[in-house]
Amino acid sequence: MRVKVKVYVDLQRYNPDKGEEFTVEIKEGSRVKDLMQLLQLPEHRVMLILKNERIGKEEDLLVDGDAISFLPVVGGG
Amino acid sequence: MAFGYNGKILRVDLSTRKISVEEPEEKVYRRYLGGGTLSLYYLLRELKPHSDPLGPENILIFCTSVMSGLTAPGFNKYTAAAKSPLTSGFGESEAGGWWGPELKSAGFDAIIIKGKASSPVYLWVHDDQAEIRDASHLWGKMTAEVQESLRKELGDNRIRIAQIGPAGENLVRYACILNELKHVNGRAGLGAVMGSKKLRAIAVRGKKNIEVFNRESALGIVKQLRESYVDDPSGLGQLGTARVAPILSAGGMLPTKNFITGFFEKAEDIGGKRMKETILTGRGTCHGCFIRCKREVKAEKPYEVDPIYGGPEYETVAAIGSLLEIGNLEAIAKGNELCGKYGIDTISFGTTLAFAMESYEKGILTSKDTDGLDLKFGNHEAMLECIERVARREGFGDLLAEGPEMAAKKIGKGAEKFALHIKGQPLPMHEPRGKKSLALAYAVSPTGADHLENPHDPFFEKEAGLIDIHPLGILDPLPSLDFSTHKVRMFVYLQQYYNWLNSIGMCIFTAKPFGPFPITKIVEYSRAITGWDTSLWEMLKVGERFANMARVFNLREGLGEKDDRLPERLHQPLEGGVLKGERIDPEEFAQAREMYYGMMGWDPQSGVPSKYKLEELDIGWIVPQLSRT
Ligand code: SF4
Repeated sequence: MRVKVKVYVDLQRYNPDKGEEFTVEIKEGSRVKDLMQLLQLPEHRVMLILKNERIGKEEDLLVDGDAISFLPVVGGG
Repeated sequence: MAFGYNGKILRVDLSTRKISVEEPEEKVYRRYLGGGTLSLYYLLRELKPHSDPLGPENILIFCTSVMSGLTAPGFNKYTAAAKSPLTSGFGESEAGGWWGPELKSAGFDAIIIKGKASSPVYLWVHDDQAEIRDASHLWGKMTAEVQESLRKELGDNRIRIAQIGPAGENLVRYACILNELKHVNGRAGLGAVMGSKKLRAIAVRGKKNIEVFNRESALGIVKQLRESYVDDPSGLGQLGTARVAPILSAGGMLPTKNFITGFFEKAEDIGGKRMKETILTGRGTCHGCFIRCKREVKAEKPYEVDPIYGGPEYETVAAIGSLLEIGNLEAIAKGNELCGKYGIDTISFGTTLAFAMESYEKGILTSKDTDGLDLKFGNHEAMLECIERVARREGFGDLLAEGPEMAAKKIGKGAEKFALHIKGQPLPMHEPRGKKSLALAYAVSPTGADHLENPHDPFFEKEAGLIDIHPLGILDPLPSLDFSTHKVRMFVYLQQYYNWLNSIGMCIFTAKPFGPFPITKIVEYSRAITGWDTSLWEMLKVGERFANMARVFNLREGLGEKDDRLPERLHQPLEGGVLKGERIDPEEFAQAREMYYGMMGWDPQSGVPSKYKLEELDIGWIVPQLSRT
């Protein structure tokens, strides 16, 4: 299946050639955390996961066509 | 021998035109380090309670630290401190750039300014000397013009200048002080204090090298940091602080429409990435810093922007952008430039204008009150016009120049509900409903709503995110929305950490968890610089000392528990964005505040520090001041 991914600024460093928005092929039954592993996104650098524009969790099951955004930790300043 | 500092404090009385030099003993430096803490050491001794913040009796202090001006990234901040005309309590604000380091090279660690000049003056500080000079010809001029004139007049292009603009002269309550036209002591209205003293600028120049105890070790630490630092193409250095606006919006935490919602549909348009793609012409930096997060921008008509004033930071793109529902980046850059020209704090201006826009939308203000300006949200032309009117205190601008608290009082008719401030200090651009420690931070910060009391909650949600702060003894991750006792303890520890960084004038973006400098390395660096056999324990005690001294300062002025509160809006649910419905529960907030007071060694109900705590911190000398509260 394919999921749409958006990775906000600071998190792009883990996939520098993919850019900000891209599509990923991932096997059926995968969860958000599997996608994070595939993209090598360290969990402590991710502030929020959005699944189809709502707050998502690492445990959430993915289905074909899902749009997943990863927001990096920002902490003031 | 003094290492890291000069051992000299410059004292200037503008009323009598007397200049003198004080040489405090080493223990004063070691106990108070610099910044807000050393400033409070003087303010608590020399400023009479209930002084008029805009009267000659107020004392304005410019304070570096035992560490500022060194070659490591981030050691460039200085504090401006006085009684604040916005809060009537302790006012302080830090600025980076080059002015602080230059003051140290000129031979002084701080300047204490008293009195009021009879006509406009500026101060010229160079090579262990200082003189008060006439500034009548500079009064009323824009900041860039003043900088150029002074450099010409004094015949040196490398003179660093901290100054106010016309807004400070006109006592706009949130006027700022700027150095190099783009590094700003923004908060607390200290520009108005400087204006009330008729002091337009302080020009500094020096050639002194700061003596360091162990140069080799200090340089080794800097080298290590430099080598391990990666200038990430999507990080702070490349995209600036404004890169976080779209992230916060997507996360439901971008202050939008006067904090009614946390989502702004044009957030991408005002973010750092868009800035880089459109108006960015270069990156700027501060003394000794390789991160280079400052912006330089240029825009063409109709919003022609002069790059000399730098580019907007995150706080600015939110305060005069999303908070007002303005998504035009060129107009925001123009607003940033105008605030720099006139010397206005962009944050306070934005929050004040958002208050006026909401009052206008709700019919409390009409176009009759606003001199015909159509103050609907999103009107960027009106935003630009208001900056000029505020700076000149012209018509409706005169009302806005008072800040949201006082303006709301004058307007009445329930306008207070839309005035988002704490202790009179307008809210900065971070959303406590999405990161609960910030609710406590805003409420108990001695300077009123301040977003730099602690690194915010999202850093510490996962075990791996805690590694950076393990040296503080924080071992359990907590969700951002947690507001338990554990969150309060985490806040107490982190607040003392930031109070210490503030005391040594270190930029938070260079220290963990933001930047490359690990906590224990900062201690190691401090040892190498000062030669003191110091430790994290001793340094955090300075942080705590600061919190207690600032608390006593405010109590003397009549600010206490009743003022440690949040504007009602933050207790209401967010109306939009992914955190829709999130609010600060008043009960939870009251419990957290009580827990905070108790953990600080203060009375859990009244928030008054116990004399035992003050004695423990070796500031027993302020105990008698408590009885005067
Ligand atoms: S991180 Fe940015 S603000 Fe901080 S010292 Fe470096 S350039 Fe200045």
